Amino acid sequence: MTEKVSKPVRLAIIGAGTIGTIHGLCSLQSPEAAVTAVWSRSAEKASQLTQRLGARACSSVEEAVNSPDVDAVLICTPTFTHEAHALAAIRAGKHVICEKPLTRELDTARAVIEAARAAGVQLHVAHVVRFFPEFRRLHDLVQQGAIGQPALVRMTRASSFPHGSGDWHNQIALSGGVVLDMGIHDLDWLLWTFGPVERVYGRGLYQRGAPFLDYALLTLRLCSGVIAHVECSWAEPAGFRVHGEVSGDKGMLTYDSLDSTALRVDLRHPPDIPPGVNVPTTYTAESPYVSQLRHFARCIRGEEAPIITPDEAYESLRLALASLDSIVNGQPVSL
Amino acid sequence: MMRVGLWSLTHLHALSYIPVLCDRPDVEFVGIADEEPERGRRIAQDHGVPFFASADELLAQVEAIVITSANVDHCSMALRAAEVRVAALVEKPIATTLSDAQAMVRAFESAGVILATAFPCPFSPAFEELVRVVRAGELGRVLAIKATNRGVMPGGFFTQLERSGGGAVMDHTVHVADLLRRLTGCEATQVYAEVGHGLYHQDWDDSGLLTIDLSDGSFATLDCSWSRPKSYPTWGDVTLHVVGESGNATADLFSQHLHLYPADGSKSSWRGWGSSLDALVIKDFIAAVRESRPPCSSGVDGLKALEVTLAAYQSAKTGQAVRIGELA
Repeated sequence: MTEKVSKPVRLAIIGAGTIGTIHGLCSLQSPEAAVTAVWSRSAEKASQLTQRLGARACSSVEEAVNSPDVDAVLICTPTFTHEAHALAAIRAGKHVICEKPLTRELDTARAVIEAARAAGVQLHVAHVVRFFPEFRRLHDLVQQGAIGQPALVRMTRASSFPHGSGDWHNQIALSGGVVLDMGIHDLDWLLWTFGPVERVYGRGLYQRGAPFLDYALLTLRLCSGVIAHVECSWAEPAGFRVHGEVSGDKGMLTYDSLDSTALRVDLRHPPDIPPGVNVPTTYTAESPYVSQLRHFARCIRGEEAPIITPDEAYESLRLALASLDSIVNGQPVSL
Repeated sequence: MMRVGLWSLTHLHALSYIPVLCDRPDVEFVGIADEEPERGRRIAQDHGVPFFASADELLAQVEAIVITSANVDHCSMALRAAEVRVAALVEKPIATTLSDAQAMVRAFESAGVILATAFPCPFSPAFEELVRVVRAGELGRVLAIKATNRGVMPGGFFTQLERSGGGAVMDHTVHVADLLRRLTGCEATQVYAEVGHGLYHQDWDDSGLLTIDLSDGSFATLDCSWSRPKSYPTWGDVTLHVVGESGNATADLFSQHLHLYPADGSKSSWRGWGSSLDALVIKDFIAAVRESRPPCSSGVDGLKALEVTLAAYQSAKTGQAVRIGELA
């Protein structure tokens, strides 16, 4: 029994793009997890990742999820494919770790959650910002009353437009744009830290036909009375910036990645880096992605209670979709 | 030499205008009137300026007056100036109701003298350059603007609703509302606002998040909150982050500062070294009166900015977006 729980959780990675590669490499630093199988639509990407991980490439999702040496399936494909891959894994009786957002629509998210529950497998959604130390610390300090009763929140998450596989992010209806793909991090953090949202009002470029550009400004009123502003930007010429600020009746906490750059390297002749998907860099002893993967693995081994439940991931999705609804319809949307 | 007076020391900006009026070679600073005679006498004496117990006597001796009273008193004071054909520079917000602002604009129009609103931000060299960059099309079409005008809670009359007409939203909306018009050449068409009282738990609003639709289809948000705590190293900020089709620009109008770290353990602070915008407000007003030309910010400019403020309050009350021009 004790020998069994100490074994690493064996993972199949579905999708070997930016985030699949990050998770794969993080598994090398996670004693609780080991990647045994990788599937990618691109055989080349799959083979590149398997070589780095000592795993094997699979020729289909079905093969990967049904492999006997796979305990859990880590879904790292574009958003609109999450549902099918998650359901395939659940059918195979495997635990699921799914990149955010859980799915593209609410009903498919519900279907995945119900299917996992019925099959008795765990479902984890990678809202990784909860594992970023700056946002974890901000959450904890707010919870501890460092600024008294919170009243006003400002969040910014800004990067250049991502160039993922087949530029799927630019198919805005499929990706949900910056709000669903990136803003959902901050919406999830808001829900986690301050509780449920009463209404949201948004303006954005979603469905305004600006190719390779998306930008949204959201205003929320939470049930606690907190008001919040969320800037979601895929309109930066370069780089990745996050900002958070919480004002309460006893003080203010602020964080800006621009002020916390522990290391900056400026090359006079920088190499040409092919366009990809930007992710923030944090110089910490353990990468937030490693912390997240180890947590999910320990949950699967029954050693920890999940920090993110499927229902919370559902609520984050519901809020992101309500934000898009407000942007499209121009009206405040009640949750 | 233009004969100029200053009426009311209630608004703290009076104290930055007084030295400017004292120093300008083209101004004869005739005197100060104040509704609190003791305060008025003391401050007039400090600056070596005559004190007038009667504002009407001061008005009778000047061509132009600077009105720095509590917000709700702007209208009655300005109307008295208009009656005796004295040009007025009125502190922002120009008034606290639309009807007051309209009455002021009409009165000065029919008196044939200048009404100016004291908006310093358009004189910011960084903002002027931002306008040039945007108007030259360097960012492409402007799609969205994220703005802040946050500050430390000022106290005083600002937190007495019967004198201020409102809290943070009344105090801090008009600057950016005005800058948006200048930057984009567009009018605000609709405003949505979440207004909060959670920082100080008082009857006056201490925080506000406005979403402003502009007539060209672009949009902006404004955080006008008194969210800077007392320990904050400076009074606050005015920032504009402009997202355009081919690039972004960020203006931080009061970012030019030195850091002062006292050895005695007291709080560190910022000491600004940027251009004095208040001096430029006075300079422009005096020149406008002398040359009989429109000031940088007219009464109508003040009124247009006030419309956004009032729409924000109405939106917060109804939970719906409010169209400008359909103000209750």
